[in-house]
Amino acid sequence: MNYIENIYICLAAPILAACIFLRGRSRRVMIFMLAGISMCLLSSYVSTFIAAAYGADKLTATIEITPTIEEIMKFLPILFYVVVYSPKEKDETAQMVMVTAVGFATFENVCYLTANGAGKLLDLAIRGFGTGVMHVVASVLMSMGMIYLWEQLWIRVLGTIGLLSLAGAFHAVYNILVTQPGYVAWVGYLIPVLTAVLIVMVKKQYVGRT
Amino acid sequence: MIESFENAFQLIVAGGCLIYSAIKAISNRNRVWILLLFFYAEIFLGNLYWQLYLIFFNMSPIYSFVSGFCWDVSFAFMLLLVRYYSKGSISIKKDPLLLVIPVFTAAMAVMFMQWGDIAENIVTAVLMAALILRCVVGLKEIAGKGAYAPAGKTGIYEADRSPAYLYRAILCFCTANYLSWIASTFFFEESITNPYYWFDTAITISLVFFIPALNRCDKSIKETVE
Repeated sequence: MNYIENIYICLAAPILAACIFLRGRSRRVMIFMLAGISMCLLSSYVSTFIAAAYGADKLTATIEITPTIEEIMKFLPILFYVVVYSPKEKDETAQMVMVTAVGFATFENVCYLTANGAGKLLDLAIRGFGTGVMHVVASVLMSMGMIYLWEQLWIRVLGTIGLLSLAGAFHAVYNILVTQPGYVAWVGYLIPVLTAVLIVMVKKQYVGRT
Repeated sequence: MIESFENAFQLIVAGGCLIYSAIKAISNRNRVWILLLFFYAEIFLGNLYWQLYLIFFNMSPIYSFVSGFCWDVSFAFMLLLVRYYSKGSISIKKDPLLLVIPVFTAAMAVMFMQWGDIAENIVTAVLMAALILRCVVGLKEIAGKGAYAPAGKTGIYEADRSPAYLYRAILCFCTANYLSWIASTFFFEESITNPYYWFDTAITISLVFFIPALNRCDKSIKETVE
């Protein structure tokens, strides 16, 4: 039995306290971190519900249902922020997308730790980096469309839905690979890291030429 | 076996096109190339997911959420790309023949709903109708402009005509898609004689033509500017 609500309370409490005392940008970071953690908890409920509705087993749910649900849920806080507050700073909004992803990945990793133990450092390090980077990369993909690429509203909506599916597929491919035994899982953990390196290289070149 | 082989072929072609369009998108920093990059990325990831599922579980995915969503969204990205070139309004009143397109996609969706997901088929029909309509209207725009283009202004004439290749490539892609879907509902055997595999190969081949078509649009626009 994995008491994810209890873990959630333990993780959320200090962040919530920090949200009360902090001001400005620091507070925003904390709020988005909390939103990421909360979305991870909620997405586990939604995924479980949909898997039950379709009669899917655990493995099928992990590789077919969960990726899309998680990406959609992770996207909701930033969608709320953009629609309600209409932030002017594009870069800061993109950073908040990443903070949400970090919160999401942190909660997921902590739940994994409590379920599987913290004995094997190398495995945990690889898993931690793989999952963390995967969530951040998927969020970067989504934020690109919503924040940077399109000006017109309907194009932005359609494009963002498109990138949401891209992020979901990236996540699903990762999940398929990491559920396999041996070296296949290692390849799965490496893919997000390599993608992140590629994105950083492209960004450097892009920014360098601007 | 043949499904896996054919899927791998499409994966490799989409991967190659993805890399090429990524290089073009980075070097040109042009939105149309970014949209084409996303289109290929959707096809590639959808196929990669399907292929990995086939390899590790020896069967197609039970629920096609991930791949189906990817393939539908690839049509959406193509629609966004076409919108950059064809900006004319679509008027069914002016040209009632255009009505044939949404009626056809709706009829196909109703037929496919007997075997597949209702929502997915509706989304596919809407996107396909919009994409085909946009391409047909674009071709009609070009035909109109071609007829009235001033004799001396070849540059402008070329710039206006160049998206025609892109529209034709997209129409071929859409036709191959519909043929493959129809074939997949009536033919099930895993052999080379199954027309589904021929039409799926046609989709793969049509994927390649978007690159020269977009290069042509790019080139003729540059020539016009010069």
